[in-house]
Amino acid sequence: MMRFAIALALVGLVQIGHVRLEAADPEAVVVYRRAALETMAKAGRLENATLVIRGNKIEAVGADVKIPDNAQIIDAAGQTIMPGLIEPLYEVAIAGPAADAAPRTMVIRGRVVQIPSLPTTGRGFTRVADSFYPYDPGLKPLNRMGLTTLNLITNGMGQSAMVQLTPQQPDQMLWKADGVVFASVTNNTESLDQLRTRLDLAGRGRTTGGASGAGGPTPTRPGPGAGGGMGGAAAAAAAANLQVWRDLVEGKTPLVVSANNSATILYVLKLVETHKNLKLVIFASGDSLYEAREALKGRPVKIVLQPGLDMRPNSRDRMNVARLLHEDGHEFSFSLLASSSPGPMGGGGSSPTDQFLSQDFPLFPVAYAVKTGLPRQAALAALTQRPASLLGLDKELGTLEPGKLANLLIIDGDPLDPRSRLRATMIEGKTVYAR
Amino acid sequence: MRGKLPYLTLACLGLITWSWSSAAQDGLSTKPAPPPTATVPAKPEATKPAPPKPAPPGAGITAIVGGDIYTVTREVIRRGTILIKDGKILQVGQDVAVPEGAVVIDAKGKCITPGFIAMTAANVGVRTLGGGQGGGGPPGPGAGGRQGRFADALNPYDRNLKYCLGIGITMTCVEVAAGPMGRFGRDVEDETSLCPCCGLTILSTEPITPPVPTERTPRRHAVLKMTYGELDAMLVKDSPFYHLPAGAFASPLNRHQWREQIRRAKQYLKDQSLHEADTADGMPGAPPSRPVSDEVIKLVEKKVALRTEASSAQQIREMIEMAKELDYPLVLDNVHEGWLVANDLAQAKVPVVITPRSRRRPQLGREDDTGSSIEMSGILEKAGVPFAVASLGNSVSLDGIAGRDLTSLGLEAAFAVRGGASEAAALASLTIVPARILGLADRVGSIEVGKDADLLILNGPPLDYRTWVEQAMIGGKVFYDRSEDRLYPDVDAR
Repeated sequence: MMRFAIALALVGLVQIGHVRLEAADPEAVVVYRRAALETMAKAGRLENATLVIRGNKIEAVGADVKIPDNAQIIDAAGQTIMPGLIEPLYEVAIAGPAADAAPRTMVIRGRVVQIPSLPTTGRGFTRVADSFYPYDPGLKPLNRMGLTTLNLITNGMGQSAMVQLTPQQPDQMLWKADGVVFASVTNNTESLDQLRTRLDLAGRGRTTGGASGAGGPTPTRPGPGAGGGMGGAAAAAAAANLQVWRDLVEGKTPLVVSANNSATILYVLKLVETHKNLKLVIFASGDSLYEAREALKGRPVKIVLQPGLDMRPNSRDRMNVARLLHEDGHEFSFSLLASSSPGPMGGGGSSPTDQFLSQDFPLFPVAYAVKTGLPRQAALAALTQRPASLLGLDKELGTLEPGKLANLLIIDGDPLDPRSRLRATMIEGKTVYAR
Repeated sequence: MRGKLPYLTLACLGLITWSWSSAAQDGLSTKPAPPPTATVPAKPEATKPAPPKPAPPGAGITAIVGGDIYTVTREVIRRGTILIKDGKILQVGQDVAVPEGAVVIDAKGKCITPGFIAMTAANVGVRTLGGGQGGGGPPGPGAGGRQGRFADALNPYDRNLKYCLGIGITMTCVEVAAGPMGRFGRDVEDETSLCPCCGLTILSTEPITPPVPTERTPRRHAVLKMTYGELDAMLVKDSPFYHLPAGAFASPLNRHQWREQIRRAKQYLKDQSLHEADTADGMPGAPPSRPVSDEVIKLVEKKVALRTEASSAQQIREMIEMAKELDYPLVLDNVHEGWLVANDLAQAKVPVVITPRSRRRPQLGREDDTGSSIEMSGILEKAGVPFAVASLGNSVSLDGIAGRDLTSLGLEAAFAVRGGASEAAALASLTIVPARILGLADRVGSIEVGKDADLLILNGPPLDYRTWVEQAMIGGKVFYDRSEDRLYPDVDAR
């Protein structure tokens, strides 16, 4: 009997927890009082302030905000609330035509025929949203790191997809299927030509009025294996791709380039010189960015890098590249999860952030960058407001301001203090993680 | 010079290891070269910002004043002045007036030479597929095989560029591997063909007779300037040679194949000119098909030279004979027994690339007239054979035996002096001779009006082993400054 009661009580507890996670009345008002708010906006950090959330949006932020009558009031004294972390470059592995990737030798009617390998970099244009798999177990633990929004890319070239990390509602995770265009580039002809031809084609289309329909030139240079027999659907897709590249050349959407070394950064900077309106975002390792620092100075390029300290090239001296970029006047974003070299996520496991992925305090490398001279506000902005603006999400995300989506983190202390614990992650007003 | 030589290698070893260890302690910093106006130790009046209305006559001019100028092609100008404008040499001489407003570099007591040119190099500024001898870094893919273009595979942040500049090399002829399988491997693509119906690759069947050797894949080179951190001026020339290994001429069958190729290329050129004449006369026909690669045709047109190795006197004679018979320009590498056939080389006007310290064992019993000789450089100079000097290793290596890698190039030229060559010839072997061999003598290789301002400011005579490069400039811009680039930071100049 006693055991039964305990079991019942346990079930009840679980139920309560479950209900708490699911609570999301569209007009429910939740008020956090006496909290420290990292607004990431003009207001800066507000001590002992009030945050009002109505439904999925932030309604009011400030020290003396009128609390609505029917509100659920939560005393958040000693806690810090900040916008959810936005990952600008989460690389996912998308299975390509892997079966044909390796060179094969086969015997057909007594003749030895060798089938050449498909070029891996010439796979063309991948639309990540088409292959998005919301049940990926790798997505679940990201909430407990404080991530709320991901920009999914893959290796090669393509269009990203943006995801709100709500593993409880897998069908609603894919948030924006038409993301930004990304490209992994190395300094060789094949790789650079992929970008060159597409940009030039899109640039030409713009100057001539751009009346090229489905029958017009395709932006993809057909490689071996992808050449013959482009059907109507493929041609339509190519035309859609062309439109994507035109938006890019006109500056409507950014181009995110992952450069494998410092020389590639130079090549990419040179490559986009003819496209004045193009908004370039460069992701590269810290030492590559350090080497190309002079070339990047004064250029209107947005930069994404991994937080932490890097080794100065050809030495064992540590350096804080984020701080140097800050001093050069760049508004960079941090990527907690990007792998430093192009390739499927988690392949090498050697990137510095991989080591922190499994830890309870994923912001440790950011804290380290702050300790070694990066201003704290710049560091926090590089995790929230800047990636939002980089991805064109600044109307919806990135700061604690009225009208923005309630993607929040509730932390029982300074977000960069290793003693702090993440208490709750909230996406559009719904708690997706709590402890 | 002679008396100091026994210490030469030792001293170099000491200096390099010392600088290496101290550099490792300090942490090497890669400072991108700032614009020249900011770095040069200019006179105070020159750095003052000029008033905006009257542009001074010397605006945009850099003047190197007071140094001994080794022009290479002419006499040494003591305490002379060089004016540089737009990356070119504007004026050289003893009584050249420095215009007002010019940036002045004081080179009193210094020596100024043209930048050195390395004829053999690998792993410098561009990654190779095969890797070089004594290679510094790990080779990786990047050059993209035959299809890739050098222009897209350069790495202006390669540390080896700095090491080259640090000993005065401003230009290298960098080798990038031959084919997909490397220098000596056979090219797979040449042996395959595509099925006409399905387009799939067909492997050839097992041959019954030995295969007729197909056209060899030449070794690829590119001429690069060591412009650290800058991409635009880096690639000077793609494929300056048609470079085949000595093995390509080793057997009668190979030589027959080579003659056949040249014959076909000449026939093609004849057909082509006939076709052009016909077209001009209003009788357009089908243009002739190209039987050999473009490189061979360039060779027959004498636009590039055949570069190959010929170690023994026999090989050298054979190569000279063949070049005479088939009528193409020739450059020979590694001519260990060149001292035996110096007159043949001079008569045929064949320039050579020598490594004075490289050895070839003499034949047993014929020690006096076979094998290498340290006196080759002197013998070649007397015979009138232009020679360029190459280092023992073709890449930058700091963890092997000191004094053998690419950074020992100047040392190797000093060994040419030991072998009896004049100092002028030794300096020419680093500058104007390689420039002529590369077909770039109109741009680099000497200090003359109109040439690129690729200059070195040295703290002593160019061939002295104690001399350091103080500044290395390319196109008038300083890309290496010993006081700032911490390659050899703590080594005191004399």
